[in-house]
Amino acid sequence: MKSMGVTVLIIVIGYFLLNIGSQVPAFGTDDSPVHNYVKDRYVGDGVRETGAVNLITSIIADYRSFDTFGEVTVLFVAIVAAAAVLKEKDEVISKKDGNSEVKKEGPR
Amino acid sequence: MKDVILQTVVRIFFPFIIMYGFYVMLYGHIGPGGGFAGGVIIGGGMVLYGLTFGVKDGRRLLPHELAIILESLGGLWYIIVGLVGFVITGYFLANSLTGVSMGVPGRLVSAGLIPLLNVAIGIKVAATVVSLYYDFVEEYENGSN
Repeated sequence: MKSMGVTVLIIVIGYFLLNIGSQVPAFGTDDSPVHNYVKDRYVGDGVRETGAVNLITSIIADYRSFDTFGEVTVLFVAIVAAAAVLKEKDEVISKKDGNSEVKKEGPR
Repeated sequence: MKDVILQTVVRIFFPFIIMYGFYVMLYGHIGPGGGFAGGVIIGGGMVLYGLTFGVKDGRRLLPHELAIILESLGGLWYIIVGLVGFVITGYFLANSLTGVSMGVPGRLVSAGLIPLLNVAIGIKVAATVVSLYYDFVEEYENGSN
């Protein structure tokens, strides 16, 4: 009975997924919805507006600077997390009465 | 790794790797590249140096504390450049609106604040790669004691 429900669910989800997939525009067509006015703005006015010949950089560092700022934040959080996990200077010993004691280690 | 061939090759190539990283970083608005790619090249060169000559020599070249400071400094620099636009125009990370000289497109000093942002990203990425490497190596050293 349980496997019946799972099978029906898979068939329903698969039907909708295939339905969506059949409506995706073909690869490389120039009239697909993702090609809107934005690319004309970037290619046509990018050099004049940002002064950067490299359009990729003009998008990364000017038009989409907030996104790059987020990436910098992600890097910072990643290194903080790695340092917090890996740099264990003091060893904490848990005692049975609920209190814990910090054991200082000698110089390495 | 005490290998004569590797040490000789790295000793010759290390300055060029670092220089190429700075080139990719500083010329990011003219040619292919940018802050991320240049920072990864510089960080990879530092990691190569540390792997070849031992971590002690690598730490002498770029101490772990300095890497951490540089990393925070890169993030702060990005925010400060963004705040310059915010103070002048009211838009965070504004570039051409701030009235900075945009220069002639294709020259090194052009594109307003974009090279400053690229340098900030590059320093941050390089310092992140190096200090991650130091973190893992220190973890390994502590575990093996």
